[in-house]
Amino acid sequence: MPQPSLDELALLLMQLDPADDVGARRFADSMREAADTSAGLVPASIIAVLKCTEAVENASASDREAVLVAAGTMLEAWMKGEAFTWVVASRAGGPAAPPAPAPVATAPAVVESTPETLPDDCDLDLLRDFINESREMLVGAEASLLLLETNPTDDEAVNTVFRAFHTVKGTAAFLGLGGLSRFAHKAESLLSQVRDRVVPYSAHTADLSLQSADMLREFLDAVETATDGTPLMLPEGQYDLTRALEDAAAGKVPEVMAPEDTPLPSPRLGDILVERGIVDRATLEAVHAGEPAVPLGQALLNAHAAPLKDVAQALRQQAQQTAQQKQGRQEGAGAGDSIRVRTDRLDRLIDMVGELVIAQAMIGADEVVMQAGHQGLSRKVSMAGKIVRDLQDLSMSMRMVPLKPVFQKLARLVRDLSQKSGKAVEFQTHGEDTELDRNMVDAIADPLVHMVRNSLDHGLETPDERKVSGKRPAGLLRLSAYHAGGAVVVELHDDGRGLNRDKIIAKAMAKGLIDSSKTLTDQDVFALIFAPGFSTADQVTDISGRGVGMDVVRRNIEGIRGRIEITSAPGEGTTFKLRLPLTLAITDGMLVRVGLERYIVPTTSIQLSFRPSPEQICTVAGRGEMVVLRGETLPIVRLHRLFNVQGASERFDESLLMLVGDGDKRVALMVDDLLGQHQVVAKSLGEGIGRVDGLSGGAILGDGRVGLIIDIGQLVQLSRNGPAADDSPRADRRAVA
Amino acid sequence: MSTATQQAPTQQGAHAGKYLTFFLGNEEYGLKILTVHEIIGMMPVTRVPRTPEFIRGVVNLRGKVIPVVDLRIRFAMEVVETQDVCIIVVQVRGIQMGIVVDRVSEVVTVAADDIEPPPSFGVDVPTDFLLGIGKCQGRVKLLLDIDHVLTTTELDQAATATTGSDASDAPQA
Repeated sequence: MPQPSLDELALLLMQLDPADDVGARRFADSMREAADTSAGLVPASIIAVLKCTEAVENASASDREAVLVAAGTMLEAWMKGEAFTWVVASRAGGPAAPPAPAPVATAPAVVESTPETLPDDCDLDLLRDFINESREMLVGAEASLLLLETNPTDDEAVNTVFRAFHTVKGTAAFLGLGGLSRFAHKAESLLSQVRDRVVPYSAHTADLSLQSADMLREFLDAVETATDGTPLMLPEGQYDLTRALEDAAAGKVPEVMAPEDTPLPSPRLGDILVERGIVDRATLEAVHAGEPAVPLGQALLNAHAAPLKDVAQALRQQAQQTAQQKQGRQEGAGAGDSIRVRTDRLDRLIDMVGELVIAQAMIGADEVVMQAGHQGLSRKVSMAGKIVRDLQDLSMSMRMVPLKPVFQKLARLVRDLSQKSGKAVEFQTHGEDTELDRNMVDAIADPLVHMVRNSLDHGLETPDERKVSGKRPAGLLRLSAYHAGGAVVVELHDDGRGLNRDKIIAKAMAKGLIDSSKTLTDQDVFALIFAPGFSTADQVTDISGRGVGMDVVRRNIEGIRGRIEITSAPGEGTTFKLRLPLTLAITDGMLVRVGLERYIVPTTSIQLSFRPSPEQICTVAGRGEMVVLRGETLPIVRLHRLFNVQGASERFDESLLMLVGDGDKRVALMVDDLLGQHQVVAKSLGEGIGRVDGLSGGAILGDGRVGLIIDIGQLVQLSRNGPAADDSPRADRRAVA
Repeated sequence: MSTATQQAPTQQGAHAGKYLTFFLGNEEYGLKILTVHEIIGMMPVTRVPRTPEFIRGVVNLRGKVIPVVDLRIRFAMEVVETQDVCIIVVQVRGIQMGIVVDRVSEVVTVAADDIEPPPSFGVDVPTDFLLGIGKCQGRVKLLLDIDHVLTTTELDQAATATTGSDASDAPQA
């Protein structure tokens, strides 16, 4: 048989009737022939062709139409000489974690997803706007879906979700994105049935809706990838999900139901009282047992087990929390109109304002302006300065965004993990409107995810274990954020097992991280869990336990100049406290002089400064110089030695000592002079230099020169480990080309 | 010219183009014009401790802090402060760096035929830093591979940070 050309194949295809089995087989044969004889077909393409022919032959009459359409698309790509594939969708359910309900339909789902391309006349800007807006709407939809978990009859929430799917469907259709639009239509249909109360909002509906939101996100990602010309790959699993959606909308409920999730309990009075330490659980049970018919609050008062004031306060808190749970919907943090602005423009604006502040300061410090005879000029410059500073405050505030989206993402994560692990979890959030520098919010999102995973996997026990310990069956995971003393604090608290100090020490010794002779405080022990590769988990689950998470967490937090503190009590739980600077941009610092050089010491690290008297100085063999202050002995760090500064004062009667650092990492820093407190815009030292131990960055000083900002934590570490800490002269090293 | 050091003609072609030339000591160097961001006069350089000696420090470039290297130290040459000393700001792969040079010369166009591969001996500058040797108007210009110079700087810096050694250098306020 003469080699069939691709044109002939196309012709055959066009004439083929989906119901024609014989014709289909003939077409498949021809296709195989063409593939065999076609030169230049890569193996991947040959496989694709073979799969296609199989599909054509094996498809039932009802499915064949779709298969033929797909074959046509593939043939076109083949004719154009482009790469093509034939992808088979997996039979497993959609992307989300919970166990998928047994599929109801018995017809073979052999229809594969095929690559489409974006319509040729598509306007890329319009498309990008569509993607961004849709993503935002899906965030809102997801928040509403989570709300519906605790409040299945919340019509407003159902409407929000419906509107999101509906809008995505419409705009996608307008932009020519057929696949996306069709899928959104299915998702929307289910929601409309829920809205019209034809179908109840059950756990199954919840799962499907969340999966649909995920699927739409994947669609949007695929479209985004396709904007640079690569073919649009439709997400896998969409056909199965579509079928499930259709069934659900038609009222068909699968045979095997996903396990009913324990609805989040509204806060119970007893729990609130125990948490606050007003009453212990044993007393609570006893009182309740004594008067089971009476409301708990009343019973406690009758038994004089708790003061009236505390009970009243607890009742108020309960009412507030219940109201908060109902009221989770806020249409965006802070009402008011908003406008979309490109982030690179915003960043440039903020940078420029920063430069303006510096330039203005330089004018103000200029000798001519400061001269006595120019008061008029001086006043004008001051006034301009005031306006510029206000401008800076405003521009800084534009960088601030609330933590709400991060909290929401975590809420979703907790829900999924809770189902996966079989542990019921109550997730509380406080202070989601707390604002943080935009760049920092991105940086803490991942660490928080790791920490939540850890808490859920290792911290919280299973409901059975908790019952044995007398705890509520649902574990508590509380995430709060608030401003405290010029910093933002984000706390993650779980009421689980707590950290096992002995286990950590044992593991650390086994890994050679510590030797047994060191005496370690609790804080030191807990800090060990941040060591790379450290994990006390007996098994590695796929949630956590690989010992990778906490190491990355600490690095990320320190990368934005934050700190992590851990407190934990065995059997009671663990609290992670993240302390973060309000913004990475501005540092409040004390300018100090060492020799002819100037350095900036962040004010938050300074405790006090003083000129030491000779009696306060002592030398301890093997540990260098120390100073005695208020009964405490602290090591002295000679900054001029550490930084090799020439011409600095080396005598204590000509220098000042600054007490810096915190906790057990405090030292007395020796400097020549204090030059005043300044607020500076911290800048990185540039990628050319990279990381310099002991310095966190640079700042432009009033006279236009660069002042280096000291990183106290690193400095203390350096003074303890570095070779420069002792008196021996350092080797002079010439750079070898 | 031995065959071992012969570059493929296409490579020499890739290096042809416009160069900004400058002096380091008695030698004239060239930088591909596209890598040059700007030229600024000498300004006070803030020394950064715990960095290799050839990193002079950092300067304030209109509000941005950028590092400045001294190639003379990098290439182990004598350091003499000249009157025309200035800083050439280069930008490669998003990294900006200043280079202290004795004197900026001019912009020249070097043709592919006028470029020879760097010899493997006899030059103070390690040849991996050179794209080639260009001849223009009768003078020899050493064409710098600034990408390579900058990358190696980062590696050296990383090495310094871990060994914790320091170079003594006259302090600059």
